[in-house]
Amino acid sequence: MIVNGEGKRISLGRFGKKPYDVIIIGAGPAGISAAINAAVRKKRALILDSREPMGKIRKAREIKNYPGFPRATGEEVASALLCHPLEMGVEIRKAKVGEVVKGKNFMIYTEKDRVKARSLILAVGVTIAKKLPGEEELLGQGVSYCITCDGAVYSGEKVVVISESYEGEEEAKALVQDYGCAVTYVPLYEMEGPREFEILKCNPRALRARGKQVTVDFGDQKLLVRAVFLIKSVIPPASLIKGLKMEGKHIAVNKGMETSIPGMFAAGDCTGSPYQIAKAIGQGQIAALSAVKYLAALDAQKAEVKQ
Amino acid sequence: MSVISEGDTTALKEILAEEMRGEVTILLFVKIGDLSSEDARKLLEEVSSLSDKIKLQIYDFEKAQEVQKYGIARAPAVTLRGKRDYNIRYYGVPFEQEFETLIEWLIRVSKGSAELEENTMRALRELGEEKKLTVLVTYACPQCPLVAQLAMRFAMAGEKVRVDVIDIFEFPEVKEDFPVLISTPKVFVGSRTLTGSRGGNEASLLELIKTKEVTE
Repeated sequence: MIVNGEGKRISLGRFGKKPYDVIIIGAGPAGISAAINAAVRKKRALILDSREPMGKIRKAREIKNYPGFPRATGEEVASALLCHPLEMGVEIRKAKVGEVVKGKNFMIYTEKDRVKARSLILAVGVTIAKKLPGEEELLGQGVSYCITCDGAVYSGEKVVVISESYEGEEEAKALVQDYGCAVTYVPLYEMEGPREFEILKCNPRALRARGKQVTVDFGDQKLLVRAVFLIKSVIPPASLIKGLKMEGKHIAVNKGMETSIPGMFAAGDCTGSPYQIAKAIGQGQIAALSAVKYLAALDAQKAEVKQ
Repeated sequence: MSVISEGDTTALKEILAEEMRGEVTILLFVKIGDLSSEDARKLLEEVSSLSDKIKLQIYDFEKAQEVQKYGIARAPAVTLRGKRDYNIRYYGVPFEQEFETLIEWLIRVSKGSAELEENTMRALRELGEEKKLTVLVTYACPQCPLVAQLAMRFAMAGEKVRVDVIDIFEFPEVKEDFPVLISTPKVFVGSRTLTGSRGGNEASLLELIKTKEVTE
């Protein structure tokens, strides 16, 4: 259990470090390309991704159409791509972005912290996440995406964690160890071995409010708990930031990879097909160069105001 | 060992020297022998040493007359006084993410300015009845400062607005006072509520305050 004062520190938040010039959400080919090009233009860049970088590409047995790498395996291409920004000193941070708020800068909320950026590039790939019936209505009322925020709220209570990936296991463990919760863990992926919590391998069908509790309906059985934590691999772009224009399931962009929100750009699969590495890399470069142009315009405005 | 690192102390001294205008008194209410109260005392003593403009007064929650004067419901509790009492109470210890809220609050009180949209300022000044905003947070929640800080600015703009920011980790029993299940951040005005970062949106929060409570 967390004891008062133990391990608690302070965060300077907006009073802390200067904002990054560019934050890139997604460490796939588009995100990597954007980071490389931002770094080449001497911009301070950070990549955020909650998943294994290049996870999709690594699974490819052979990539036949990426120029300069004939008969390369997915693993070879992925490793080569990933090394490039790291060699240039670009930081890749494992963090899941839950929300973005646009003010003077972009404030990017991850599950554990906040980071600021003057411009933002979305390279989040395509998501197929579906919401459970009842999820939206109960969000904030017994349903939460954030264990860091709400774990403490349900200390010592009976809760369910529904997770799309193994990351949820660490979160469930924290609920048990730090907050003394009785956790039922529902993995929506292949999971093996015993854990510190009860595991229920069933597909949830719906969430319903029942007084100050939530019923998780699995069809043949129901669980009545105080809170349901949903651990998603990726938050869909439209849920990340208000006002982002979509075209179907893709982010609407122009030729400069600008989105409907000034200072925010998008590249790669999240902007539409073809879902190809070469195309993603090209778009990543365009997005970065557009971001650089946007930052230059911001600096020019600032200089004008000072005069 | 200090709570605020040497590097952060230097940065904060510079920020406060630049941003603070008038003097601010931190009023801290503690329970003797309570670990969280001790944490709060340690943290706020360090904060008060960051600027000559910050004074710290510590009161015993069980005995001090100021408990009634400031309407303090539980301890540890923090309130700030600048030119006046802005009717903002923080229940808990502003660690981690909520530390930003404390610094922002100090600067705003020292300036005496809410810096909201003109129509929001007018609406809050002209409120006919008292409105109490309860903001539920946890100190580790990254989105909570956005909501807590906006509610504080509302209290600074309207003398009839009272704000209680309550850290649910510190006071888990408080969640039972509300008719719905809680996740943070959450703002309540009566039984009406805003969830998540929506509570950090000026127009949404103003609408929540202005909407009449429906009683059956």
